[in-house]
Amino acid sequence: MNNDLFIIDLTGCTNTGEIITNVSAAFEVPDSRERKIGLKLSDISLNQAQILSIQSLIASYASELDYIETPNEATKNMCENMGIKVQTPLFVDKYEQPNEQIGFEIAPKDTDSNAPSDMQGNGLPSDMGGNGVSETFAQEFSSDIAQASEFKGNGLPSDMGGNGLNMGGNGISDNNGNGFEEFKPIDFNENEKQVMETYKKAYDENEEDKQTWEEVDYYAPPTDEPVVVDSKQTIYVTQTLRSGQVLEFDGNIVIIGDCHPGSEIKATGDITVWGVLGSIAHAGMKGNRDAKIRALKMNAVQLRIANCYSRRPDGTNIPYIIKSSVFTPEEARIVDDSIVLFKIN
Amino acid sequence: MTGSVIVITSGKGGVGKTTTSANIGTALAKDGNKVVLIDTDIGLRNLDLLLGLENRIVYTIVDVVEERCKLKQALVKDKKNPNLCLLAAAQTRDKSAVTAEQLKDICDTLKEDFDYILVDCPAGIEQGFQNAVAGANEAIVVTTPEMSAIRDADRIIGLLEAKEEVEKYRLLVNRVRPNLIKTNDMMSVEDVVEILSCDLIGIIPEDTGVITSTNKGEPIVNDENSLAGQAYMNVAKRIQGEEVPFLDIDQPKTLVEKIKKFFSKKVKA
Repeated sequence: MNNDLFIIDLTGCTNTGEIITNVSAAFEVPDSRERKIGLKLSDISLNQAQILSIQSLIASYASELDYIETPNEATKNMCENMGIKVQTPLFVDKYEQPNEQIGFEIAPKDTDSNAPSDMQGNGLPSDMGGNGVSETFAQEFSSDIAQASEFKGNGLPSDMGGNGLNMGGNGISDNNGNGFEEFKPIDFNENEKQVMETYKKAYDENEEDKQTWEEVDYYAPPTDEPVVVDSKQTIYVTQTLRSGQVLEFDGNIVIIGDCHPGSEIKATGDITVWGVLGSIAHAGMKGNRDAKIRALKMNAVQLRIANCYSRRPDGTNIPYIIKSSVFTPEEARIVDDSIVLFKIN
Repeated sequence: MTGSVIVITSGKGGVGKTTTSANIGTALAKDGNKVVLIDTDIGLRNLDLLLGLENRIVYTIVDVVEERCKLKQALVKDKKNPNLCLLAAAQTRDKSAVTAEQLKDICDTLKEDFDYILVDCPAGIEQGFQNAVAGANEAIVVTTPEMSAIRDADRIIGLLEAKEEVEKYRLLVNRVRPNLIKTNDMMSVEDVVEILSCDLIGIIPEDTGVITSTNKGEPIVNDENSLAGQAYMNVAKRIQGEEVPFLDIDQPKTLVEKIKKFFSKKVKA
């Protein structure tokens, strides 16, 4: 038995069925077997039978349940009665200290590192054939798709998630203020401080247009369309995305390289850019509002998640030319109908 | 309301078509006209950058043509001037995404709501040029005082003359450097006009401020101290039918030059 903890993040799960599915998916990775397992749960109430079934599932993979982390009191009490260790997650108030220097609205660090979990859950490619890749792109990136299928055997996706996204927390948060001083927007008026507008705000702003030119709305939400459950496929692209190129995929996209302005990334799942994101990124295309966009350096012209839309502040079109040596990994997700950036530490 | 559709073209690349479009558009809007700028350079769009509207574009002209949105949804309003709108080109497609008839339809629809429709033409004389010219009833041919640009402009004028819809075309000489003309190192504006035998609509002096304004995403007409900005304002006035004398672009920069010029005027008088 390996004594290192293997933590499975289940904060995205809303019922026991999902928990069971995700736990068994996590055990597809050989590294996770014969280990002590830590479970991170969201605010859901579990009864004794449910906890027992999870425990026995873990035992069937020759592993041992070490602790459960949950904010839910009922589950906590039940675990304590059953002799399982309980931890309370650390939540930091997300709306303090917005970092105005970057222009984007940024909440302080998110201690709950659910980034790796998504990679574990979705990053296990069952069929990496690249079915959903748009045709033109399939040709250009055929080599990468081949590479992607190689990853499948090694179980690398989960490693990427676990180690990769968590690293770099050391110097980066300290340097954050300094690194951005040269990028201060030129005409930074009060209005532009509220940068990450939602679709709704963009619409309201144009109320006056309506009088003159009837209806001017920017981004129509696909309200009538049913939300499509994302496929669990992930495509790896190890190439710089240049102006005019479109990467469209039914699943998650991981780009190892930069995305230049003028290109577009569209995914039904998450988008992760291991480099500078300077283009338009649209995650959760088919209405998945839980989709996230992550980048080592976020400088996107526009961020779109499901039907939410937000744009870069004006006067910051110069920074994308300078490729910063200071990376500030950030994650964009929907909070109360608007897209908010969180630092990844 | 029937607006006029003006295509801004040149044949040669890099002579300042897009800069001219952005500045004339802004200048016309400043004078209280309702203006829409159409970028037809699909695949190599730049007009949005010059206006600083890159981050606001959601729908493009290709989305309009392929009926993914209404025309009015695709019009991006300028940050400062509510009279000015941009219909952006798609970056991820090429010139064949739009046909000449479709562009003509768009221009005809916009004519009803706007005073001026300025069409920024791509370089070359292929499909992109044919599209841009399709709906136009006026043209501004941009050139610089160089042989290569003049030859291309001549070719363009020939093509424009063959189009019946284009009622008139006028010449805009860009990046003129009075110092070089003085020393006979550059063709004078008179020479250019004589070679092309074409009406002149404006002379724009070379101005380093244009580079800065392009990078900032703010047209230089918003800078009232700039000579190039004033020249563009005058072009806009002439488009509106006013008679404005051509700007004296040979403006002295140093004190010594100012004194010299002051005395030379006295002598002439």
